[in-house]
Amino acid sequence: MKNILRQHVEHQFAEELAQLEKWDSGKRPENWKCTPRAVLMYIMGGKLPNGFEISPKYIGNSRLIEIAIATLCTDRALLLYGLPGTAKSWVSEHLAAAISGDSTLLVQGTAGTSEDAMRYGWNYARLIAEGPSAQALVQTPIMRAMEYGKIARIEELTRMSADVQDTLITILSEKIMPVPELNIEIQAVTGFNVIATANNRDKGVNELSGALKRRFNTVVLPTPETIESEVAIVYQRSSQLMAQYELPAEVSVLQEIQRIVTIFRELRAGVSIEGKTKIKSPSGAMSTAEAISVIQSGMALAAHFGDGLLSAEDLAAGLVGSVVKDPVQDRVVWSEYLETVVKTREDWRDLYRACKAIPL
Amino acid sequence: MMELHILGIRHHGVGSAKHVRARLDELQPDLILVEGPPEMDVILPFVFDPAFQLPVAALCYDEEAPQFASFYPFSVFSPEWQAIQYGLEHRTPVKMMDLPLSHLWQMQRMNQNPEPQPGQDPIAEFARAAGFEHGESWWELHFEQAYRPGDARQHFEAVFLMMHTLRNQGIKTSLDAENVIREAWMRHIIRSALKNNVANIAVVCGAWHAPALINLDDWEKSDQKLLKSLPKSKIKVKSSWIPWTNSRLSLHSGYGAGIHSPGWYRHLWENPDDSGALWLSKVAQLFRTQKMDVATAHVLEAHRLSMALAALRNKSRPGLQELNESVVTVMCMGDEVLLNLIRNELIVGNVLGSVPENLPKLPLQADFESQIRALRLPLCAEAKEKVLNLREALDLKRSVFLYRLHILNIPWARPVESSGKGTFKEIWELQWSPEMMISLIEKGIWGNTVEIAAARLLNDQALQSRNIAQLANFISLAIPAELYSVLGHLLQYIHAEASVSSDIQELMQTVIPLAGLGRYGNVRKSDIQAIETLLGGLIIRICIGLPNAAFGIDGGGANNLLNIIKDTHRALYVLDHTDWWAQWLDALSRVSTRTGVAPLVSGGVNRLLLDARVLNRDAISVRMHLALSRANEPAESAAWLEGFLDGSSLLLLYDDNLWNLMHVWLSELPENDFVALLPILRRTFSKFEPAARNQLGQKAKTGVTMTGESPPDRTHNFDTNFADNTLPFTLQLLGFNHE
Repeated sequence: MKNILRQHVEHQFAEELAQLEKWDSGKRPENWKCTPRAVLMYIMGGKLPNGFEISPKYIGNSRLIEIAIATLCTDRALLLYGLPGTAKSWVSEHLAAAISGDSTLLVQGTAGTSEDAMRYGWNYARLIAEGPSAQALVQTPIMRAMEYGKIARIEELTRMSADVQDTLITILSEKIMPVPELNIEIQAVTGFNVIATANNRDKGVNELSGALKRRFNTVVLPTPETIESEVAIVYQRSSQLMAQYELPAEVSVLQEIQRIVTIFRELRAGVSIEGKTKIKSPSGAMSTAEAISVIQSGMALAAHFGDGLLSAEDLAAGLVGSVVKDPVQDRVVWSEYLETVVKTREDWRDLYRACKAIPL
Repeated sequence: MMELHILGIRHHGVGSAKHVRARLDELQPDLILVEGPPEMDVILPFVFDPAFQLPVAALCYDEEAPQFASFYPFSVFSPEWQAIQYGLEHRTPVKMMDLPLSHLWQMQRMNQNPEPQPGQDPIAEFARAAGFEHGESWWELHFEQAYRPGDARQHFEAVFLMMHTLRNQGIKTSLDAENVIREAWMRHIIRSALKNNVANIAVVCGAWHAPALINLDDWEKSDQKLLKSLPKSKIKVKSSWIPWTNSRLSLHSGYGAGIHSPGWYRHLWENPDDSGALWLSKVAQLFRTQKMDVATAHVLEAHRLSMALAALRNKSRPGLQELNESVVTVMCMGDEVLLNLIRNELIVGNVLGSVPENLPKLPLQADFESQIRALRLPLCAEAKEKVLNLREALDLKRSVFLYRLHILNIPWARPVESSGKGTFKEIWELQWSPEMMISLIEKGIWGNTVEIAAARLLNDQALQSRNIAQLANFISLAIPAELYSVLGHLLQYIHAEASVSSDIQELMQTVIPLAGLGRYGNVRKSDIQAIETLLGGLIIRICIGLPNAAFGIDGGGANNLLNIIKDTHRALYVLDHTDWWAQWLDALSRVSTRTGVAPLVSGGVNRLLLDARVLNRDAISVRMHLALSRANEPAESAAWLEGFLDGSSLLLLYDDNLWNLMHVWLSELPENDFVALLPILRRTFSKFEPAARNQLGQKAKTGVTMTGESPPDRTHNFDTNFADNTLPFTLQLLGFNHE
């Protein structure tokens, strides 16, 4: 069998889900694979009474996940909202896997997503040959989720144009999908719900209409709370990808990760890590995901063009590129940060010099 | 048969208050003992006055040193308040039974007061066992939120038992050492009541003390010994009631127990059966007053979500946390910022209490009155002007005092602009009206002396201000009011705000007054250092941002900016700090060469650089040539010239190169342009002295000056000896003491 590059999470964590199901004895909402409390345990991790370890899928505040699960219990749709790179899609995938056992009912929102992708399409060959019929109808993931009482996922909701977004209104408020061509409607079965993700920082997003906003409960996933948890996330993901792309492994990476994560957190929070100096924030999101990519490109640079050891020079270009997104505003922010924070740290001299060497 | 009932409560606990009330109704005691200093006993009868509006606080203070003070805040849901109310309504004697403050303060002053030891929240033990993060939320769920009428007795038995268990386990709390003495005193009071044959006693005290107040006889001997060892105290403690605010209920004072959500507690007190729907409706109404669309459907959905959350968390009904989370999720698009509004308006609640007028005098009031006597500043209803000479000690003290009142926003004295720039003279207009006393009493929450209150109020205002200019203004108030303790904080806030401000002009305007602060001889050294650090940071930011700030601004903006740049230049010149000066000149150089900078600013900056000798005459004439080039818009050239000449004609008179450049440019202007530029040229030249204008006119008659003709050789026939005679007097004029 071929190696699948990325498996669905319900397969990847099948063992955990099976173990949870054995232990989980409470009352389940209709068509749910687990009780809400078991879903929480699956996402946040923990230990089952029989000693089986459930790995944590989300490192952060468990209250947010509780709100998300409780929302899905109340048949209101859930909108995971926040900066890019805060594990929104990751959480959505795991929630769908734990609740419906199926994370594949997915519509990816892009500027080109059409109404057909949200409601239903037609098999035109059949449509022309037989006229409108149930056989000529092409079902979308949302339609199937309604039929089987499962969770449908919509990624990057705000990337879709506003009229396509609004097709959700009927589905969310009436829980039906009319097919006027056949004079029928699909009524959602209990257990159906929608998890959408959207980010509030990227340029070129289409703001949700008020009518649609009202139909969602919104949970904002924040950036990691402590530096330790962020370093842990970055380290975990970098080493995964390092192995995946077969980049050479190397020891002192953790130290560089700490520096990069510190810089990202400081610029994001607008205050230095000791809390002494305030700092302006750049226009970019400075997300954890970006920190991961700075580290990775630094590693690749070190491996292919350097001596294999991750140094300040390897990181500087990626770092400056990820901070300075706007040539005027961010440049000021970055020079100020270099002069008032980086320069003052004795053991950061190499980084200061490396960054100064990058023309802005 | 003598009965003793211990009602263990949590201070400001809603459920505790309800249970206390219910239990007292059941017990019908003959005497109620309440945890609190006995010095409060005298002011308890006032509680019945209908003029009382909660929240209020009992203020106990040392008559001779009012800075020793304790507050005991009460709201309607305070169990102690309910106990006192019950007593007054039923004519049952109420007495405070805690260790007298006179003893406590005496111990503190003799340093006998046992230092609080690090301990733990005892209730956290139970909470952790039940899977809660904090003791607070566990206690609230079980003992405060759930109130079932009719089981008050069981409630107090449960509390008693729980505390008994915890104390038997030997859990340490931070106040253990102090508690030993306090509990001994409480037992002593209860014992003497019992000896006086009071049959039915109800004791209302913090839950933690409850188990220590039984088996009195076993303790008698050791208590007597302990209480005998108490130091003698001559401290006279006075008490009064003062208005309190909900936000200050959350402060830790007196009872040492602050609460974070007085508004929510009040809601629970008034609506014991609310499952959250009423609270959410209040939230919706609040949002509507702020012009936010919140529909009934939102309330409904938020309510459902809070129920689901409570179920997921194993709670019988949603608490404040679930309700807040539901509001954020359903009504606010997940944005927690709006929660601040709810917190201020509902959870804490903007409520100010009030107290009757016929109460004993407050320390701040007493301090104010003793100061005006000492400073001989009588209170007059008619307006009077007072001129203060700050070189006199008494006048200086008066000025400091008046500035403090000014900070306290008591409009008795109003500063009047004094004519002339003499810094020794201040004029104030004094006019007293009785309302000012009320305003003063209200300030009692800030401190017991005018100085302390002014310092705290200023600090609080600064904490809330986001405006750098305002903060700088606070600094200029704090110094004449001699509130040096606040100065450090103010500097910190400015630092924080300035770091994120991208308004370079604002930053420069902050630098200008800060640079002058070192002049005040009695500013503390540490503050001077803080000012320097702050200045250093500001100057780096200004120097980085200045070239961008001078880019693309209109005429009025350019004029403002140039003035600020000149003021900053002067301030930095006076500061005489080599590094900063170099950075500043470097920034100016970058401004001067950048294209797109407003011409007025560019001209002005070039002039500053010339005066600072960064640019020499040759370099400047190249710049001027460039600025007056034909390709430029004539209006821009004229603006450049205006900035460059800076109201002084000397350059044109003595530098022929520059004169010629200007002369050629001006005479070659096409007629239309010349007419259009006349106003701006007139503005430029009319600032010159009449004599200089005359000279320039003479010069203009001859047209272009040939190089070499001028400047005239002024060293020719120069009598140095004669000139030296003027030196002593010139030095004297410049302020050098030439002996």
